[in-house]
Amino acid sequence: MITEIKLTVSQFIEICNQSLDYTFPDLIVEGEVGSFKINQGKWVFFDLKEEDMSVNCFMPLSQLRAALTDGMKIQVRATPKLTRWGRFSLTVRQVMPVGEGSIKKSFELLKKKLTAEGLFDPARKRPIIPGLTHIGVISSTAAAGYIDFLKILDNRWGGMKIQTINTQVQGMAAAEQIIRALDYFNQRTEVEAIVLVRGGGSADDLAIFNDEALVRAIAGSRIPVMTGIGHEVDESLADLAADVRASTPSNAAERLSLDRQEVIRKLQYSLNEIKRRILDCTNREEDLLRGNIDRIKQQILALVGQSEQHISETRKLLDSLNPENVLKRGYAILAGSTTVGSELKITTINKIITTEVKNVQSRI
Amino acid sequence: MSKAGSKLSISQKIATLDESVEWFYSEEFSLDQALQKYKDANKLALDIKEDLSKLKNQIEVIGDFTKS
Repeated sequence: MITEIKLTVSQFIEICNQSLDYTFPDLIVEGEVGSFKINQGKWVFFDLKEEDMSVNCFMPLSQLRAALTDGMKIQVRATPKLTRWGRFSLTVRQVMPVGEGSIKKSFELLKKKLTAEGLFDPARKRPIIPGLTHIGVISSTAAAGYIDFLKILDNRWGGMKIQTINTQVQGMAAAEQIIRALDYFNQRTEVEAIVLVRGGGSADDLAIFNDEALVRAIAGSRIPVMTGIGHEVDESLADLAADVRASTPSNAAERLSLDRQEVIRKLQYSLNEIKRRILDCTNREEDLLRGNIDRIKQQILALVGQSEQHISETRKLLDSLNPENVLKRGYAILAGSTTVGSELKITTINKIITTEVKNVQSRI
Repeated sequence: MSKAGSKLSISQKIATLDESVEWFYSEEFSLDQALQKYKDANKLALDIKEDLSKLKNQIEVIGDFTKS
């Protein structure tokens, strides 16, 4: 026998809603946005469509964290509800564009809005200088990007205290978890910088980094934030809001740390410079000494030259005075008395002649 | 220098070494002292290399926000 259920309208609506809550505790629905409108600056209404079917959606504007327009493909996290007027709708808690085209469109719309608010103003950026001692990391601890980040950090430098908060880095829950992690670090004073790390992925995987609330949390962080998300070509609004954007997790590690190999190279360079300086100085001293020795040598040689010339001239003079040289020129030497009848000895170059004086006359 | 040097941090040691290098290019430089200064600088550089090789990062996962 079928039990007859009799309910008032309010009871019927309430039971329907309880059944829907029980059946769909965490519902994600994907579709295309249609008839998007914002009422009274507070409420967002749109249809979620698929071919010729659609469902009404409603959410407070304050919870809309992506820019939407008609035609955009999105996922919504929502609770199905039968309203008091008997209309069925999805009460949306979270919206995420899906597919490259929708993500790009949403990115551009939100970028325009947040740029106008000055969130990406370069003047807001604070530097993060390598050599920090205490950093906070937000990432999925199982992700390859996080492991690369730690590996490069360890290879390059040491002595840093790294505190990590494990969060999802893709999917609808990720943005909220990352915001909570940012809040956690900002409520404390230990870390000098926060690094948000996530390896490469598809446009859908990286879409959470365009979440408006997350972007605002990054821009509003008291502690400087560095992002290392995806690959070089991936640019998210989180990157634009961060104080420093590293192109990848590995690049984030490089930009945060000094390189011990580089420090060792500089040490070696310094020592080589010192050696060169000492060698330059000793070479200069040696050159100076060698110059002095050369000068002394030249002076001694000059003196020796002068003495040799003097000796040569004296020798020439002596030679000219030598009697043998006079005899060679044909002269003779007479020895003895010049009185008549005396003997005279005549010496020539090759003979000695003895003769007698026969006559003596005066010449003058 | 090595005993006192070992109590300094790496950055302090690097700063000390930089000062030593500057001395070699200053007016105070003299060949008489240069050899000893070079030996000191060399020792300090070896200390820094050793310290660098021993440096390790301390990594701690302080929260898991995926569970709540």
